[in-house]
Amino acid sequence: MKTDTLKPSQVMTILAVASLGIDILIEQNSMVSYAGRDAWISLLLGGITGILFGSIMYFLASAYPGKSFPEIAVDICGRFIGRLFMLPVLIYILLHAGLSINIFAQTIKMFLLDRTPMYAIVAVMAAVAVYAVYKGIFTLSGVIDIIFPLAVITIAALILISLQQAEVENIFPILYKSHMKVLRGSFFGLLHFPGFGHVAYLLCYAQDSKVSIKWYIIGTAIPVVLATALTLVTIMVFNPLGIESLLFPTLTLSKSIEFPVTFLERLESIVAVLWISIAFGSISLFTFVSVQNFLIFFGRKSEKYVTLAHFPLLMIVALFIKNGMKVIEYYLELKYLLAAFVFIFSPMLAVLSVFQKRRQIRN
Amino acid sequence: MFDLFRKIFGKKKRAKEYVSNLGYLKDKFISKDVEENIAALCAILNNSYDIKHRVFKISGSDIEGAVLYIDNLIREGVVLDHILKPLMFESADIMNNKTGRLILKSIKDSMLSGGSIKEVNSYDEIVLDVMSGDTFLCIQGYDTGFIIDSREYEGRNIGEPSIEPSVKGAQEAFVETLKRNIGLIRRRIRDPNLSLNHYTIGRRSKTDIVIASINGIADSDIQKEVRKRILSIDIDGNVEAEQIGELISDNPNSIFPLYQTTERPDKLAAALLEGRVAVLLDGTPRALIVPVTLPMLLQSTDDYFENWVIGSVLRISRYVSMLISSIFPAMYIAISSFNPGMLPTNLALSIASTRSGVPFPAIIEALLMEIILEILQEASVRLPRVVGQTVSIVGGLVIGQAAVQAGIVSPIMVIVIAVTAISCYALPSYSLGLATRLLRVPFMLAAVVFGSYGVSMGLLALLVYLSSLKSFGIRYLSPLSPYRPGDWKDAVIRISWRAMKKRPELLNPYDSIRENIGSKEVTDED
Repeated sequence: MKTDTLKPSQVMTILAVASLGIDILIEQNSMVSYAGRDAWISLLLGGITGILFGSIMYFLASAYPGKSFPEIAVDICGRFIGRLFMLPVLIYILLHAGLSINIFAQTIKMFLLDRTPMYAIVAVMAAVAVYAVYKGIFTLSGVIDIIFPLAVITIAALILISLQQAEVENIFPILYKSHMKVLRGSFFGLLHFPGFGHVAYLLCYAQDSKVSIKWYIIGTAIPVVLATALTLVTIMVFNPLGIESLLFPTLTLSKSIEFPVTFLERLESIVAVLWISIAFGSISLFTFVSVQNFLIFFGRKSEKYVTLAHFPLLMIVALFIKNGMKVIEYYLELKYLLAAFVFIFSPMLAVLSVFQKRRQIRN
Repeated sequence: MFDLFRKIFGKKKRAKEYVSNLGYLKDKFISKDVEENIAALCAILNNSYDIKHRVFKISGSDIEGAVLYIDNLIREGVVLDHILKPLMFESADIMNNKTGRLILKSIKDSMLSGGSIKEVNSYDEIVLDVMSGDTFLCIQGYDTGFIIDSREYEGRNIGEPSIEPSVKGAQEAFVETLKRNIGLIRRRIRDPNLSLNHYTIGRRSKTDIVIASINGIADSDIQKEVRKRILSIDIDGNVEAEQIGELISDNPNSIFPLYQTTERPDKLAAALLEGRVAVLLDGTPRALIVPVTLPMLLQSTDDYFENWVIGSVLRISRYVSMLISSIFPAMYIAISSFNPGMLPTNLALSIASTRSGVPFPAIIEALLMEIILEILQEASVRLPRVVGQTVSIVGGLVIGQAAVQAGIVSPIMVIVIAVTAISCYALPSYSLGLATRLLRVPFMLAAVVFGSYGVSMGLLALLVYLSSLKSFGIRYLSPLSPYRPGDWKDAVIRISWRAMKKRPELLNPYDSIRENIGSKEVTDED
């Protein structure tokens, strides 16, 4: 019997779904606040920058076959400093997963289950996500393979259907006295694609740890293209001022769609139902990454117990803050930790890795 | 932890082990005395009434011979015409030529005209063969005997498939006799590489089992794994193929079938040609096929007898049927109870008006109907066919109509449950249909608590579960996940035969090329 490995296409689907989860619902709002009508350009530039910075993680993981990111960090920096460096990453990933569940539960409560308590919605999502992680990365990747086309079709369909209400003048004039805003916005745009770093956790499970960079680029480019197109359409439909007042612009966009024939009503509920699987994919992938961090940070070998322990952890993080608006605020502020990771920690680790490799060659 | 509990609370004494296998006879050999041999064998076989033996004089000489066999398992003509008659009346020449001395080789080569003859001397071999329907022959003065093939099992003739009927396919189905089933396969695959390995399993039943595969196509790892799992079965008796299936399955707790059963020889032959491995069992009119994936269970023989477009549409309809069979009542409950706004206003109002007089919530209605449906299905399986039809009419029409008129259930719920039940029967695999039936209740419970969110999360949990399943190392959702684009042409759809040039990659076949259409030149002389 052959041992399981991730196929390159699976690495691609995981990277795409990891970044499509929660941010796809709220990114228009935050991006418009930075770059106004040119928010979509910021998001596109941010995405491209994200792919470039994420490739550092790709090359780092390729240089250490069979090792996940926390193992690489410990390998390069040593046991103590490596773990110290891992601490903010560990906190960021756990908080990201937990707050994502909270935002997810808020949307479900708003569009599907207005009378169901938050803790019940959170508990169901956390339980199924932990169950998926408990079954292992190969099972999880199998689920992501099924979710991926569903995610792409849902978002693409939403974009195409919304085009009928789009008003092109809402995006003009392009880049009019807003170059700096666009550039500043692109920094935040990059942070709306939090799943790119997952590549450093996946290559150790891949068929041969050197998955072609083609798959990495496809996997990261898909959410960039979809998010940019969705933001562009949302701006064209609502105009930048209208978007700033919306909590979940994507779902409001689906709400605004009207079919000429009485076929489906309340499309936003249907989109919310379809979006559940996308959010689940992203949340469970972050939970998986969090489990990997905990395993190395606490030096545990039994993945089973660490995974099960994530259920209460996710519940606590998701339910700790009661105010929904505050959760979104914290979720966006949490991205500064991601920025530190992308711009400081991973390049530094890459440089140290180069030195270590050179030292090894000399010796 | 469980080991600790088991250690503390587990049973201390092992159950008494009965001598149930033939291992203890391995070191016991036949003697030169015919009477002694027959007596010993009768004793081993508990002097059962159907053990027949006959001691006779060879060709009028003083030398005794004896045969022993089990009545009802043999072809009597073989014993009389091919063993007793030549030995008693036609051996004089050989006796004279050999100057009165019998030589075993001469008997074997010149006198016994049975199909297959083998020399034996240990009781374990003799007992097993005699119990399988062979005849034992021993000669006075020799400590070596013969086992002569005389098996003939009573059984029904080859008939039509009852579980897997086909509109255009062959109307032949496996029967309970292994020999005939093997013949049905051989007739379809005249390839010398068709490997049929025979084993016996069951300490007491000693059931014949055959592992079939095509060398040069099937992955040797899968072949070895099947053999290993079959041979590791330690069970006293075995009656059905499904029992073996469960014992060799990767996950015996799975409600989804991890092995495929078929009663169609054409389906089995096609599976062998794809590179899969089959297990045939004596006494069972079905064969097991492994490995299996979910898309394979949704393939039907009829898909290949129609144009590929029609075949593909039929297959897609089965995927839809599977989904309807699992979640349709749950979706109805979720939408009608939590999100009626998702439906067009007219439909929502229509549903509300039909439900207005019903005293129960939708979940109780659905459960009630499901329970009645399950009882009806069970009753129709157990009852004779004629009565079964009456039960269907009484159950389906009378109870359904009466329940609606009495205001216990709404007409829309009857429609929902009826569509669900019919969808279940659209699935080619009966076991898969049962799994979807079982899933309905948890989905309905999820729907009543969390509405469409509950159904979605239930589907995701199910997807996780399905994704974790494996059949002989092959992922259950293959080739849909992980992606194997090369195999998609015969998964959700079925494309033209001309495009199906390769065997499924997921089975890792040695010879991956299935066809080379256009490469063969045919001349007029051909």
